[in-house]
Amino acid sequence: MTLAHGIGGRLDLPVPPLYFLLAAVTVLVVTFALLSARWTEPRLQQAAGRETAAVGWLRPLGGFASAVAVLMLIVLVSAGLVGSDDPLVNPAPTMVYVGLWLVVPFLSALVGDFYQVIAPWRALCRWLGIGKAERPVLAHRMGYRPAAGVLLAFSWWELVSPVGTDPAWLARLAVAYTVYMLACARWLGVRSSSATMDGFGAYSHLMGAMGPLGVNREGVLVRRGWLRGLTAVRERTGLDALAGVLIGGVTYDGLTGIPFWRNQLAGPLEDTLVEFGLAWEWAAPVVGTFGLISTVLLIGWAYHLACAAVVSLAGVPTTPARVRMRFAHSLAPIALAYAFAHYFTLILYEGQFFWVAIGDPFDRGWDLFGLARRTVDYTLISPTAIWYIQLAAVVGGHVGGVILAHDRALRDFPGPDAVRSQYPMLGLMVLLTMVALLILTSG
Amino acid sequence: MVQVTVREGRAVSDDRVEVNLGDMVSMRFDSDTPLLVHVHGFDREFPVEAGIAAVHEFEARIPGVFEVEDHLTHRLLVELQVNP
Repeated sequence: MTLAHGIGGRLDLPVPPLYFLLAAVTVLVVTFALLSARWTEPRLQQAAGRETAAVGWLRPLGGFASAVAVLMLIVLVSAGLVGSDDPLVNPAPTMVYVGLWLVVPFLSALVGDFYQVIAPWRALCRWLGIGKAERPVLAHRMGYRPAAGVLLAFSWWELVSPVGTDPAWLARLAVAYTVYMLACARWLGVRSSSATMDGFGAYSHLMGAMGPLGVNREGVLVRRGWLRGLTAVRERTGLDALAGVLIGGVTYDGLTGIPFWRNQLAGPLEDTLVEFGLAWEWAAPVVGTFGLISTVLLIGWAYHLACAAVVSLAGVPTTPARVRMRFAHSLAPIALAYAFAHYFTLILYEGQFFWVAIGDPFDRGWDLFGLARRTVDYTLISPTAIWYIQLAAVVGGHVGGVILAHDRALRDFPGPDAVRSQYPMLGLMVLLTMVALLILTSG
Repeated sequence: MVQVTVREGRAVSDDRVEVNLGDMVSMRFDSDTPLLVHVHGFDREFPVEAGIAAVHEFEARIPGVFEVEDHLTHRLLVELQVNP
């Protein structure tokens, strides 16, 4: 009863057990090495960054990129509505699921949070004069929660809903989302709504904080060491939910790719629902909704447990809620690693469809860029190289998370208990990393 | 020979079939409803009539896992795992 993946018709080969073992051992060794290293003073916690000479060409570049983004939105909507209904022939699904959902956050982690500059709805607000009155206090109170909700809904649309890759439905979704963001901007103000109400804004904000370029409180462009910006990410309620939704979504997608999950868990559950009289078209989405939400909740619950344990080991008075807030940023590299390991070949291979599809966006037989005859080259990199990149990403994300958590513990729990207080958080990270490795091995 | 049996639109045969890179893959479809089979990655699409077995041959020249789906219902029929 399983539905085919939308645009990911080609999936990665399962990682061989030997590679898995190698990565798992590396993870454990690195984790313990860091604990016993002479890293006894917080080093990453001053993240202000150095002001860089105002780069003159960045402003016109930003303006240009923002105009291109609006044009892309228009192409996305019109192609989705009038173009082919094949998700690989129509450029809309690749634009959303590869461009917006993967390339933007990955580039943000590499460069900085540039999405805030190019977000099409922000350009529309500027042109229409919407959202000049900011309500930062209200935005702060809501925190990242609405954005996390948006991302959960979007993951549901991609991974569970039966129309996930349908171009026409994606076009309608894009229009609805633009209207939603314009309404949010009118209500909260452009800047206040960007990381609060905009799921993609919050995602890019979190990933971009890892990048070397940022904007300080005075609005000046600064340069900083990699990862450092994360220690200064805005701490607002729901930061942990945001990371949890990101990690949970990829985990769920990975789980559904495992034959055991489909045949022994989801499949029988769907059959039972059908026996109870549910139409088969509905059985898969119902079970999928349940699976996605449980995966996210399970990861959130594990984080809650780890934070509660940190409180009892901290040696200084603190609360679980505060620990959850203070350590959520250390989940960001893990979220990035999960997504990158799982999806980078999607960019590499399915991304190639985009260049063919965009040459004929409305299915009229055009060949704007002379690429119509091109077929996807699936031999760009060897399976072995893919395995190494996947494992390096997962291990790298783990190391980033462990370093950030270690440094934060030294800062927040000074004294002899700093190292001991980290055991629960490191345990959680090892667990998350092992789950990621297991999924790559059994997919 | 990869046998894919479909009853009432659902695949009742193996979930995933492994072949080696360079193999000639011969897929035999047997369905009681009409199908429009799409082999991802190899970009092959062909109809299968109800009650008439159809055999399709091609060379497994790309490593990876490829979904074979019915484009009429978007159901997954089988996954073809091409080992390097």
